[in-house]
Amino acid sequence: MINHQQLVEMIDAYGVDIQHWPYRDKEALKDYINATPVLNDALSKAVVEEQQLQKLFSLSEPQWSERAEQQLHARITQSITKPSEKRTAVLNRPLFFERIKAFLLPAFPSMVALLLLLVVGQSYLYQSQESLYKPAFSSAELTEWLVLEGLSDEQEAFVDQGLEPWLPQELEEMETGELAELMYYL
Amino acid sequence: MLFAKQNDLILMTDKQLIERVANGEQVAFSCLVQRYLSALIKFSVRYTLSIPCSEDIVQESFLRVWSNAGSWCSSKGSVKSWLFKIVYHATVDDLRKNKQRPLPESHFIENGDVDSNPENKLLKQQQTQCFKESLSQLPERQRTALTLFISSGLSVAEVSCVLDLSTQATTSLLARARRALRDNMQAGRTTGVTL
Repeated sequence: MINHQQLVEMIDAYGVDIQHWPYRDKEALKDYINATPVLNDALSKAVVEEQQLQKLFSLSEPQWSERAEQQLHARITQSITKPSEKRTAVLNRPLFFERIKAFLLPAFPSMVALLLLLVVGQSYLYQSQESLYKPAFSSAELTEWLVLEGLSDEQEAFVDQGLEPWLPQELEEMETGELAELMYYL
Repeated sequence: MLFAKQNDLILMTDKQLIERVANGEQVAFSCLVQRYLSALIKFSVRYTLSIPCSEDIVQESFLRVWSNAGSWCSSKGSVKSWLFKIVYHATVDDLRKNKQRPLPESHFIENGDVDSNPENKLLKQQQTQCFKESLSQLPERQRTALTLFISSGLSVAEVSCVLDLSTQATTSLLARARRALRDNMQAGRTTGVTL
């Protein structure tokens, strides 16, 4: 089941407690070791060594009083309940100006470029708005349009009274058929 | 009742406690601190050799536990190994930061051994001194593995979690550590120690 060398290796790796060894049937292993004198002696010797080792570890441990433990415990538990201290805002002027300078100087060229862009954009916007208010047609063009597309109020009044409307020179010069056609549409 | 009583918490498993800590229960946190404070201090002191330093390290570690309790899951190993891992890393970080710090041996008071016989007392002192020297000669990983396994009582699986090693590698490390410690102590020719 296990030889002496394997037993020593198991003790070195997992300690003397067989319950921690990676064996399925630990009880059977325990019985086997107990029944084999060489293995039993080796295990007993290892148990004594382990106890000595534990004692040496314990002896070399620092002395830490119960009181110190309680104090640290209180310190830790208090530190999680303590609200964060309020910080009073104090302006450090030299540092403040230094930070402002450090922020402004590198940003200066970009800020100038941005300003120019704003000015150009604004003037373009102004021009385009101005063009909205400009008349699209001159008065001569409008009269011509009126003649072609319809009659002015004065001319309409003539028509309403059954009179011949006053016609512009251009219309007078038109052929009769063309003028009749125009009047028909109007 | 919103929070469990202190007595109920004492009977709870580490897993149950850490789940409550994650929910912000200060009483559960207090119970967890009480459970592991001493063991963690003793573990940390072996590296720092200073109780005040280790107290600071452990306090800081517990604050991390308080704020990160929700991040614990069973895949990270047991709560015990998780706590030891946090303290181990905090201790190693502290030692790296304070390389120049002199080792305050005066703070490192050994455990008082009540023995009226001066001869026995001297013998034990010699044994302890030899053991300490032999242990300090071990490589850091071997020393940590052995300390966690024998002194702190962690299982092989828990030690492997603390050191981020596989179980196989941890058993191998522990075996090498034991052999090396045995050799060191035999080389020390201490009287009465047969390791």
